[in-house]
Amino acid sequence: MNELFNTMPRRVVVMAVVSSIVILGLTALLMIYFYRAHEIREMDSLLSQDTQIAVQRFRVDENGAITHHRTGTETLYDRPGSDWVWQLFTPNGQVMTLLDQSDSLGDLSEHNTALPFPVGRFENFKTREGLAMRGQLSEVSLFGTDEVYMLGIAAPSLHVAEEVEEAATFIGSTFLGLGCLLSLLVFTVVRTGLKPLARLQGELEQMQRGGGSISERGWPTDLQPIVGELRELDQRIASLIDRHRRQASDLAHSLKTPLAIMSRIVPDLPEQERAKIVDQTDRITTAVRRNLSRLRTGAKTANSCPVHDTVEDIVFAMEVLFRERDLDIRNKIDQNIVFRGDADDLKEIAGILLDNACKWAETTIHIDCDCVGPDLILAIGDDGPGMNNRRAATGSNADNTTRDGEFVSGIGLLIVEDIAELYEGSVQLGQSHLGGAEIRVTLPAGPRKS
Amino acid sequence: MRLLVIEDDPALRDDLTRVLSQHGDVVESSGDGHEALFLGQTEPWDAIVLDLNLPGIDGLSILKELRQNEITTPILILSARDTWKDVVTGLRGGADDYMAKPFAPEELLARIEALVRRSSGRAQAEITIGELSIDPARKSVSFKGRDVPLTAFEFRALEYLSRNAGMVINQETLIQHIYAQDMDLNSNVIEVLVARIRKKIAPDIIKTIRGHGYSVPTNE
Repeated sequence: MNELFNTMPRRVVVMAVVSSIVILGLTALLMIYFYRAHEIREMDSLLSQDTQIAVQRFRVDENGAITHHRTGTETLYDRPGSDWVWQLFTPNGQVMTLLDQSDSLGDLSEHNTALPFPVGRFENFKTREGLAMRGQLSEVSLFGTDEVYMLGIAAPSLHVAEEVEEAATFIGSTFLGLGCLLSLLVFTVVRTGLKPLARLQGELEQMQRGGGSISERGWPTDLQPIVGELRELDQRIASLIDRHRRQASDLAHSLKTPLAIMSRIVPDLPEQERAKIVDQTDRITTAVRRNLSRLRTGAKTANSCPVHDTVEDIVFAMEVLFRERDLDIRNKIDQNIVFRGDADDLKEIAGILLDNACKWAETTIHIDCDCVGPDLILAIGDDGPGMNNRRAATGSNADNTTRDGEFVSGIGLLIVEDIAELYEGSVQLGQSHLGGAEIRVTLPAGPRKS
Repeated sequence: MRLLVIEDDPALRDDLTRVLSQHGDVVESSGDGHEALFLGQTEPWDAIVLDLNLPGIDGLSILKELRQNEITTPILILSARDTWKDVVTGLRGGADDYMAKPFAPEELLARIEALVRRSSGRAQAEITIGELSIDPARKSVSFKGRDVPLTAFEFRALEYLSRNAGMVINQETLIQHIYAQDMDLNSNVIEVLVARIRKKIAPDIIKTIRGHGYSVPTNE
């Protein structure tokens, strides 16, 4: 039930459809009711007319004998078993004496049972056999006498019921069709009418995923104040986050210059203190770098960037920084592959990995990227000594180090892992087809460029 | 070498100046963006060490301005900003190298040396002209296989002239590359210095071009 009302358009559609169906249903019932009343009135009117016709056909002769004059045309009252009946009575105190009856009731000498007509007004009643009838018993004056007689006339009420049922079926089908059409119309109208709300919802969802902000224009007048408030709130939050990130970033950056000076002082210190200070400055440097990296990658965005072009920026930087090594850096990434994430994060990953590769490669570095399902796998390999030999050569995790490795030993790959984890990706170490180490980073892929 | 250090933090600026001076380089420093840009545009430098966060004009703007004015002096960015985005931006802006703080002074010296060497078109760290060999890293000079002991000023003069072998260097430029402080251009200190170098190495090691300056002939 809650699911039925969990969105505004759904709530409006359900309420509108239910209201329409109720109104249509009530209208149909009223129409059937009025039609039935109309049919009953028609029948009563017909029976009244038949009463008049029947009265006009009675004759009372000078002996007081009553005869019923027939026209020669057979009516329903003349057909035996038609259940359209009349009976003429003479009031005799409290006792009603049956004088004559319609041919439909058979010969009076054989079938002389008085029917229980309602007196004075048309009403439904049942015969002894249980047949539902409608009729009345009324006073009549017969031609040729001043005496008062009573004429009962009736017809089966089944006739009205059949007419009403037929009409009800027609009205029901018509209104059912109307109900379906109205529901469809309501759905379309609501969907079209609430389109700005759906758009607002979409933009809010995108904003929550970190992909931009709510657009300023194209909103209906009554939504503009809400949109304005939301935009202002978003900007305020963004500026607050930005300010805190900047403050934290400034704090981390401001530590770097004192650290640089401390590193310069270290050689002048006595040997015992030197090791302790170096250890502490290394720890602070590592903490600063890692936290700076987290600050930078703290805001997941819904951006995307072409992998080839982004990595090409880093290849350019490597060619400048390592120009003396004259390395062959081969960027074999397909131009159409897209990373579903921030370009700066991809630059950071590629920068750290390529920096390591440039330090260890003999002559060649190979960069490639494959799409596997929803992911891309960025692979950077070299023809250097390989991961195990790097460890053996350095006696530490120096394979993870960055360009200024002595300060940040082991932090480079941790930063890559941090960024990959942010995108629910992973990092694998392996061997390159060039013979050296290869690092493979799995990241989310965006839709390919066409 | 004559180096310009542009760094806004006084402690680090002084420290850098001290380290580079101890290495035997002539160092001038500035902590203000406008002043740094003026110095970079108006004086000859072998290399510039540039911080990015500066009061006045930021380091990246200084870098671009210098390159737009076709000043090709090697520039090494020394910055606390260490993302690869910053590195790419700096290098695309025209820097020749990028170092993140904190840094090892030895690495900084090696990188400056490499930059200057590359800018003078040499592949090797040592400067070799005929039988003269100069090792800028060790601050040593040998001639015909014999080590020649030179003072710091004599070494700077010979190193600068050798880096620009074949070119005529006027007295003013030579003074700027040898002495950190301002000198009286009319003094005969350069003449004396050159004479002492000739005496220690060979009379024709430095040629005097009258009215223009001095030159170390190339080995071609």
